Amino acid sequence: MRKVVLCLLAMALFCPALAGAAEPIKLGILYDASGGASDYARYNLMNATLAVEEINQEGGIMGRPVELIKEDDGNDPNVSPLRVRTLIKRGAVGVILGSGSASVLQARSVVEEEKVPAFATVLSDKAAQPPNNNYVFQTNNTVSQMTNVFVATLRSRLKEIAIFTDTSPTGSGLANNFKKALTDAGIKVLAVEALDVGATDATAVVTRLRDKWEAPAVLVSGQAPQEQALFVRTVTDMGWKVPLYQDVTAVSPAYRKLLGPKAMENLYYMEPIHPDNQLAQKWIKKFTAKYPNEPVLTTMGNVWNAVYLFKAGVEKAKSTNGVAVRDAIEHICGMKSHFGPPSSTVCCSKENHLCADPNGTFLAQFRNGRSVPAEK
Amino acid sequence: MNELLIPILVTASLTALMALSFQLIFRATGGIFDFAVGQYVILGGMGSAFLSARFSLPLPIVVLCGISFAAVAASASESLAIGPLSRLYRTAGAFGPVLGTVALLWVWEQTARLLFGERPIIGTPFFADVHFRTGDIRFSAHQLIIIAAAAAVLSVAHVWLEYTATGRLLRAVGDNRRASELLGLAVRKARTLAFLWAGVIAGITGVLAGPLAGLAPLSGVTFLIGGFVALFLGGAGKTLGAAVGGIVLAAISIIVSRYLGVAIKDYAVLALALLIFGFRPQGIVAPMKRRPG
Amino acid sequence: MGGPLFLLATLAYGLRDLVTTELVILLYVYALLGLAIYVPMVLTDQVSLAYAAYAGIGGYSVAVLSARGIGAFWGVPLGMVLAGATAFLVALATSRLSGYFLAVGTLLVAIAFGRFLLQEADLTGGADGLTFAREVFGIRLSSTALLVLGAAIIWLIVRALENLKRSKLGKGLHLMGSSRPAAESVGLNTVRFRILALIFGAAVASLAGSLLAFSRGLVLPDSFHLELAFLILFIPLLGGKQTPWGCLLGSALLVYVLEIARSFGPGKLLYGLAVLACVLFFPGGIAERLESAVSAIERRLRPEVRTDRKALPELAEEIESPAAALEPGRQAAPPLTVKGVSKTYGGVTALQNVSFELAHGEIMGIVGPNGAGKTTLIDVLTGIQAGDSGEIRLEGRALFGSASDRALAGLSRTFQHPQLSEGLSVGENVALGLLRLSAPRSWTGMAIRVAHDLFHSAHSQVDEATLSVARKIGLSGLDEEMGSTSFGTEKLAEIGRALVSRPSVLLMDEPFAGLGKAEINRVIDAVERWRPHALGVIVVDHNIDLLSKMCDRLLVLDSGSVIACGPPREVLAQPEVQKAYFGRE
Repeated sequence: MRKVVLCLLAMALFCPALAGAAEPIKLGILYDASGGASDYARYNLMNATLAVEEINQEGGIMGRPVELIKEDDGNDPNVSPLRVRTLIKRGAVGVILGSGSASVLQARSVVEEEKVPAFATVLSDKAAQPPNNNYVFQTNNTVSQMTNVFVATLRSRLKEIAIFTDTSPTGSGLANNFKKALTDAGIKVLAVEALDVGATDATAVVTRLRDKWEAPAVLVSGQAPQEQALFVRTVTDMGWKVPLYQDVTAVSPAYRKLLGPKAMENLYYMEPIHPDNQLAQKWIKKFTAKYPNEPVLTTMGNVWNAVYLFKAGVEKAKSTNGVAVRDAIEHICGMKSHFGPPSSTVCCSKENHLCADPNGTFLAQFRNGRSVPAEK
Repeated sequence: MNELLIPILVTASLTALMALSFQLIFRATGGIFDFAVGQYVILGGMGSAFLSARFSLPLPIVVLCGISFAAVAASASESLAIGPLSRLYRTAGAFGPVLGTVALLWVWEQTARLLFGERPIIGTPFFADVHFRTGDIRFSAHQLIIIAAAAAVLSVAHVWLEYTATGRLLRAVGDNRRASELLGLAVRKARTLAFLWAGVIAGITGVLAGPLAGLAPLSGVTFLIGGFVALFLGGAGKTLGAAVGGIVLAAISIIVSRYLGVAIKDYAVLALALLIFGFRPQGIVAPMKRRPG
Repeated sequence: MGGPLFLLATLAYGLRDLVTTELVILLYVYALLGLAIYVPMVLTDQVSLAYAAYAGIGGYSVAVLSARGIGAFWGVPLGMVLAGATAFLVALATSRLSGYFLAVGTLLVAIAFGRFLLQEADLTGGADGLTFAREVFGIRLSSTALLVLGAAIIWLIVRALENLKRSKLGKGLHLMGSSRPAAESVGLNTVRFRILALIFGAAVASLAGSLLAFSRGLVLPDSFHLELAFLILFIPLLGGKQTPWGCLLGSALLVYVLEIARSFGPGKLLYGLAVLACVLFFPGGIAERLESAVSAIERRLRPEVRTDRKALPELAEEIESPAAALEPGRQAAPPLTVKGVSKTYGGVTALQNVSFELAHGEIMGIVGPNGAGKTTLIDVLTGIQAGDSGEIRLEGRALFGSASDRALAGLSRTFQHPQLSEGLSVGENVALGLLRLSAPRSWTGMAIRVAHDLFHSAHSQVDEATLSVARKIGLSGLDEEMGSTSFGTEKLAEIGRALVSRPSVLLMDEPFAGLGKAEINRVIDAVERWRPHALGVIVVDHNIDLLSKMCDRLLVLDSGSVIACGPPREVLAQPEVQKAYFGRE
């Protein structure tokens, strides 16, 4: 009789633990299914799903499975805070902010208030910078980091530059970001010119950059790929032999199709994937296996980093409490990165929430159908 | 400055075609502006580019298919939505039809997304590698085709509206809806035809514009705004209005962008529009046959 | 009614937890935006696409002033002023044009505003937006406080609109919604009121934007994007046009439908189809359908209650004639003098040197075959069209200006097709004529009057003037709803409306069209009964027999010229008249 009671007691004690053991750890993701950011935001979701699957196959976090819960904000920043709150209400202890940049900025205040660690996937520096930012981390190379790579690679050649973008708020924000970073690095920014979203002709802006500003080089950025592609093609067609530097947009195969092979040859762009990075090749393989008809966006390595960073943080803190996980993440350094050269690591600190390896993205050119490091 | 001439003409051509498409619907329904016309353009342009990329069909087939997508969408919009709307809201003014056509915009936008995907698709330019040069002006065969096609379509439309029976009927409807309602069936037929042609023109615009920058489901708004503004700048009452409005809008946009930047361009277009509305509301071209007040 | 209850329900729901609080605050923002377009769009049928931009003005004013240390609170009135001023400018430019010009103009304003936000990054923070402290005068505004504030603002605005609706001016504006010419004929300057409606809408939209800004502590250009301007057009559609409370229901439905649509793959497609279906099948709005369904059920459940028709009270005093009220010197001037009026349209001479004089207490008939110029003459007299030359004098004073100006000067009219307000009762329609005596003329006057009516709850009682006029012209059943009455009653009601303000001249446009014999007699009778009041009456018709019987003089027009003027017997005998009317001698 006593044995039975003891057994029952033991079970009663264990059951909650068992229940706790089986209870999933929820990771939320904010994405865009139908709005202006849906082009790339979908890939955030797809890659996060794959990363979570991989983690679960290898035992989950602290023995508990990870559940990815998602909310769509349609890239509407008025709605994003609601979605993030809903994710947290549904039990998310970490959130991937995978929608457009305006959405991420609005959602930030919510994770601050709720004290839940969040991972932004946008290019803008602002998402993970002070003020009022204690909980947002970034695992992709941001504008300022990319600018440093530009400058380091091209220091001898780059003294002045003009910036091209589109008229969307995201494009404008990126351009301002780049302008500040370039100016801080000692490069003079002659002008920032933009082309309307949906424009079918770029001659006016190209001639303006060429004749009025006499730009010796142009940095090409923007939200959607069409305007950037149109700009680059127009420069090529007009025979203006100016070096063009593109942000990470050019890694998208869709962009390359818009550009055509001839224009691709003239371009220098930021490429996150190095052929010798094993971790990178692994996830690319998984992605192409599951989604054979989808192009591989090499920037998505940062989403894998975000998921793994979250895992590492929870494991280090041995809890899912937001403050504890955040503190733990701020002490993680040296985690292997899913993009960049083989030596790339993810390193966070209390002062610096930009966790990506500053040299994770390298300046590349397109030769023989692949990205190769640019000639210095 | 010479380099801007062809871009202005090309942009003007596309804008004028858009404005014409709007105008046909506007007059055929006695004043309803179909906000979804930009989406017919997308269906035509994305559709043809999609077919070309996926199935490698020859150019004429792909062009015809693209135009058909747009024409079908326009006709469907008319019979299922705009026709009933214009009967329902005879006396209620702009309220219902505006909402209805905005809803149509979303419906067709999402249809394009479902059919053709969300990523932008770029078509192949006609005679892709053929270029011409006169002096220091350089242009491609595709650009020439755009300008020529627009001129042709505008001319045909002008002739149709001014000199054929159906065309005249359409103009009569546009000027006085109530009177033409008494004319009954012939009006319905004219309206259906007008929508069909509006769809065809939108499809042509899409097929022509697709190879320029690439089209995505959400790109329709730019065509919508351009056509809308051009039509009212130029004058909604004459076919020439579409052409003139297109040229003026394109010229101002491109020239101001070139010399003063894109922000000033937006302010300039607003100022121009308000000035024209305030002082010459009938548009730059001839007056609309509408009684004042 | 259901409105305030629904507001309380949303408030209660919002207080549950932080998620619902923010959801309901967003709902209130949409509701305010809905109210903002309700006035111009539903009441005056003007579609504006600048409401997201006006909201942006409100939001950014708050943020910018806070960032500059002036205090976020002052951003609220500043935003409303800036938004109102912008709306005024655009409205001025497009006021005389068809609705689409307004749509184009406001669309361009929205685009220019978006560009401004990105361009002037020093002021606005550019694409990264502006963060600011969510406090006023040092007190932090919690989400709960904003929730309650939002509810209070909505309640205030709806009540104010309801006050306005019940006021005399409000009923006049209601008439303006169904017939601009009728509103002009009772002295309402419809062009200016329509502009005022747009300004009001812009100010409320700005308020909505300020609320949104406070709720987030951060404003971004994308918070006020163009698609929002299209989205809010649907709020009155979903919520119904009958009452401003519909905007709250409409925004709730909008948010709800958007939420549902989001959970499906092709959600936005379904949403578009749903909205399309609404527009096609529920033109009055969903709330209206619900309401009529509810009242249909009510009627079935409750037995018919017969209300006693209140008998019109006996009146002791006779009504003074307007002529008697004037100073003796003025009494000499005839009510209407027309000299040498001509009008040509593109080659066709519609009126040629038309001259006549109307005497006090006279009923003059103007006849002529089709195309003789009768309609043009009416248009020129009432101000719908300007004559090319000639002079018109009312009571000796020059008559000019818009239709409402002339109405205010003392010219009343009836329409061939009665232009009455269906939502009002017969008595209320007649009473609208009294507006002519008190309609505000200047911008200041209008603003003050509107403000007064927004904040005062009017008592609706049929006044004595209306009752006496109704009695006099034989109009009964003042409590019946317009729209459920006979055509004859409608015509009489219009006559009552024209007379109740004691005009100097009454112009009747084809009063007998569409009437049966009995009703024709009612109309003739009404006009006859009014004789003692010595105003001048002009009846324009082509039924020469009728006019011969009731008129003192006949004026015959043919191809724009006066071919005869005098007592009916003489005029009918004239050979030119015979020829014009009967084709031969």
